[in-house]
Amino acid sequence: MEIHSPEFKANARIALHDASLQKALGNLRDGFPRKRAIAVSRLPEFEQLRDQARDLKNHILSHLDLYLETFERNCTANGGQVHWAADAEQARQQILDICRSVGAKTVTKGKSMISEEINLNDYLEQHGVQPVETDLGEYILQLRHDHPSHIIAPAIHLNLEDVSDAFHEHHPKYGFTERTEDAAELMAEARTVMRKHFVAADVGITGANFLVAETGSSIIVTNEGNGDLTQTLPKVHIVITSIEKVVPTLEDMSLFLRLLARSATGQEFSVYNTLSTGPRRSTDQDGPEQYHVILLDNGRSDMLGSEFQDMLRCIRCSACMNHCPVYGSVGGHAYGWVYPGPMGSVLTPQLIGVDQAGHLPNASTFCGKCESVCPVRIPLPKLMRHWREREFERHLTPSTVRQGLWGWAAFAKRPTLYRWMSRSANFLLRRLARNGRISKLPLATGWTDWRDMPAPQQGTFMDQWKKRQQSEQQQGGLL
Amino acid sequence: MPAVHTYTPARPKVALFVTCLVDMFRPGVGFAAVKLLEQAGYSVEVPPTQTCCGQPAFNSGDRLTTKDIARQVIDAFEDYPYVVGPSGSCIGMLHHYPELFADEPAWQQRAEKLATRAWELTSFLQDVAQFQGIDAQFDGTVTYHDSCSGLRELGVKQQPRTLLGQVKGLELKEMEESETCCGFGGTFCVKYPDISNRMVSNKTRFIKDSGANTLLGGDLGCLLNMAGKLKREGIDVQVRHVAEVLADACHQPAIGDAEV
Amino acid sequence: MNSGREQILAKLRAKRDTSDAAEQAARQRVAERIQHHAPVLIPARGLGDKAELLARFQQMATEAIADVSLHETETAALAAIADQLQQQGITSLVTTADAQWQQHDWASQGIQCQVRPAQVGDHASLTPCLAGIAETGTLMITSAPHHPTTLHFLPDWHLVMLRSSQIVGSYEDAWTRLRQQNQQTGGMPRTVNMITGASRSADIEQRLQMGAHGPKRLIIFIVMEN
Repeated sequence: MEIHSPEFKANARIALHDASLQKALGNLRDGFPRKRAIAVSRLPEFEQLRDQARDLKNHILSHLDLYLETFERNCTANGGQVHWAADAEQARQQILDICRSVGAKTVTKGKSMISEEINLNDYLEQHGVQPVETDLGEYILQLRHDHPSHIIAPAIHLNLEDVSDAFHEHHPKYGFTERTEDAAELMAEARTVMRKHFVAADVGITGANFLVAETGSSIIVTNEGNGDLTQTLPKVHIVITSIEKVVPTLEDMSLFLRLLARSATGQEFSVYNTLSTGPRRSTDQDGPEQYHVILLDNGRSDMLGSEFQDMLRCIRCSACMNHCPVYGSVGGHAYGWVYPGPMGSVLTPQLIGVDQAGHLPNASTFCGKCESVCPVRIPLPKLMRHWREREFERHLTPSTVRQGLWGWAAFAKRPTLYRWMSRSANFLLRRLARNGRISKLPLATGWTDWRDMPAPQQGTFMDQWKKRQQSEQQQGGLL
Repeated sequence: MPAVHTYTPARPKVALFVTCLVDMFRPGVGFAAVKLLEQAGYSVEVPPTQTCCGQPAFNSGDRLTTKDIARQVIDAFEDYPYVVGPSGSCIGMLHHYPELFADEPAWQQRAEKLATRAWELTSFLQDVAQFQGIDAQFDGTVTYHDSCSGLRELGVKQQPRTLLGQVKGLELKEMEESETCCGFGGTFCVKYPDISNRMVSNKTRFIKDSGANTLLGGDLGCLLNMAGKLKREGIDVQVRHVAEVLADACHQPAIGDAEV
Repeated sequence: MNSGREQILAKLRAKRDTSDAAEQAARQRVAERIQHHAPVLIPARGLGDKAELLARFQQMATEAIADVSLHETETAALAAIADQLQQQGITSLVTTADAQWQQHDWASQGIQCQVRPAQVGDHASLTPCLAGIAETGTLMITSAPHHPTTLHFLPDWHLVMLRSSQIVGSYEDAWTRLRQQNQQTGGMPRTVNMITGASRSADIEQRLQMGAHGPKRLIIFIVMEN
């Protein structure tokens, strides 16, 4: 998708004034966080699992090439084909080549953020292959020429009426001529329409939540079952995934599965956790005849060994954005690219450049809520701060901020000057105050446009303390 | 002259980290902190070369300036057995110092030593001093905002509530989402003012819905933000730093209220 | 294609110590981890005696919106299935190949039983499973020559026969069963489905709707064995 991250401020402003979006975001705030809290409270070992998951991911990352080679070996032994893509262009080309090799006209797709990252749909369409999104949320977005605003609830920014409108516009050709605002009926419509696509597709593309080195398998985690029909009915199953998703064994995968659904939707377990290993066996009656796994790097190997390595632990659960007050205020589209919320604020600068995504790591209060719910304990605020350091080093920080900081630092490093500045500010602010507060403050209109500035009490603490010490000493002297 | 002190038994020393905002906006919080620490049996000193903890530079990505300021803070405070400040955010910053000096072992050691001695006020009173002698009266209902840094970096949650439990007449009414950020975020509130406004608007709604007539918290930045919004919205809730209530220092007007 | 492979692996290798001794140690760690496939941490709720695990499986599967019933014998379970289909006016059932199921007298209740992969429009399927996992009420079902995967997804109802001896505590216990099966069949099946409740979506306004693309109902028949 096109990059709109540089316009984050303008995007955010539009989002804050979008009543429909704000209503939809309310559903998010009241849903996932509450359910996660309940799921976590029911599993006493949850915090211990988080520690183990962090440690295991660190172990995997320090042996990443070896586990990937093991995965490749076992996948191939089971009849699968592994393709390595250094960047988005290579991955797109490999997928198109496979589609063309079987003369594919349409491909069904399970939900995949990597597919969004490499902008696969546009590319396939441009080359004569029609992609059909099968996840209900993704399907709605495809009808609307829209993009996901959340990594697991892609249509979270829409309301029921939006879905009704989209279906009413596109479904008459399937016999659904009446507009309905009943969510169950809308889903039944999608179910009927999608079955035609599942059967007609030549290729099915899914993502992978994990790759298991031990068995050469990929796993997808879904609730709808669309991913399973996507990968079972067509002749070819392509898995598009990234290199950090490999885990050593089925037991190791279990650790992450216990954390994933609970952190994401607050479910004890997602409905369908499906392991795929190679193509259909010669005696199988269904399943794809070919099984391809595309391993995408696209900048991830650059993160390994850097101050951003911890981000490679991410299992894409979305807990960070579900709990983020900034995401909850502006929604995912404001972030301007594929990955929104705190995880996106760390990942996006790596993938599209910090010069493009500079706002993202800055648009955080560092409240730390994201880190407190991350199942693999990624220190997200710290990583965002590292991006701010990169921006500062490269002089990408806005000059007003740099100058302000320089001026402030000049005082903060000189206690005597600082005392004078503090005293002067105290005095000036009191002069501007009426009834204990300031309603308009030049140079700080960002503050006073929205709220009053409480007036200071008279005199700084340091001045008063000095006086108190002096008078105590005098009294002491008199004694 | 020193003779007068020889009769008092040696009280352990605490260095007060005043914080910029308390210094400039609300010295009353500093004096309340001094009073509480003295009541708890400590002798309070205020190192005169202190300025700021360096957080504005740290969170803006200016590592060199942050280190300069950190060195200054370490120099000023490292000789004290305890460093206490009425802010989880600023004390939390002191706990970040060791990571700044990853490539300077000597400074890192000093930074680590300082971090182990640096305490947010209520957690010091509760966890270190185990202070039982709160001598205060507050006739009213209060609700408590858990400021992010104190809560998530230092584990400040029960300590202020336990101490408030000793205040006569005080009733605590918890608000919904007391742990959600108020939208202050240091420079965030001026860099992204409209997002900050949405966050603080959510907060004032929860505060109002709690039915309490006073909002308390442990960080002046958050309190200035929420008080400013409550005033602008005309919501009749008084805002104070928790130290003011604990030290029985509520004779001073609440934050953003007119002086009588 | 290979250029991508070498490029990526070279970059990854450059980030770790590849001196002879370190490389050998790293390879050994990886080989051992995979060979031992030891459990990391099994939560207490994945442990317990048979009765506890049966009760937990029932509770968790029900919570995940599956119907669960207990039956003394498989014959009794088949009779219950036929009754249920008849009550709902369902006249066809697609199943995996199973001699006893095919011998059952479906016709007397007006039900046609077929052994084949599922098709669009099928109303109900009946399949066995490899294990029932108590910790989350999850079924593990594997594909096999006479067990097509479409049976789990295309029909409106998915009926599953679960023997009480197949109920295990944790995912790890189920992997053990899978490995035992793999020993007999010669390797991993193409598909391992872990199914917990019926298909659903909350993509419209975060409100849960049942029966998205997979079965609208998951019905589990537990056959008690001593």
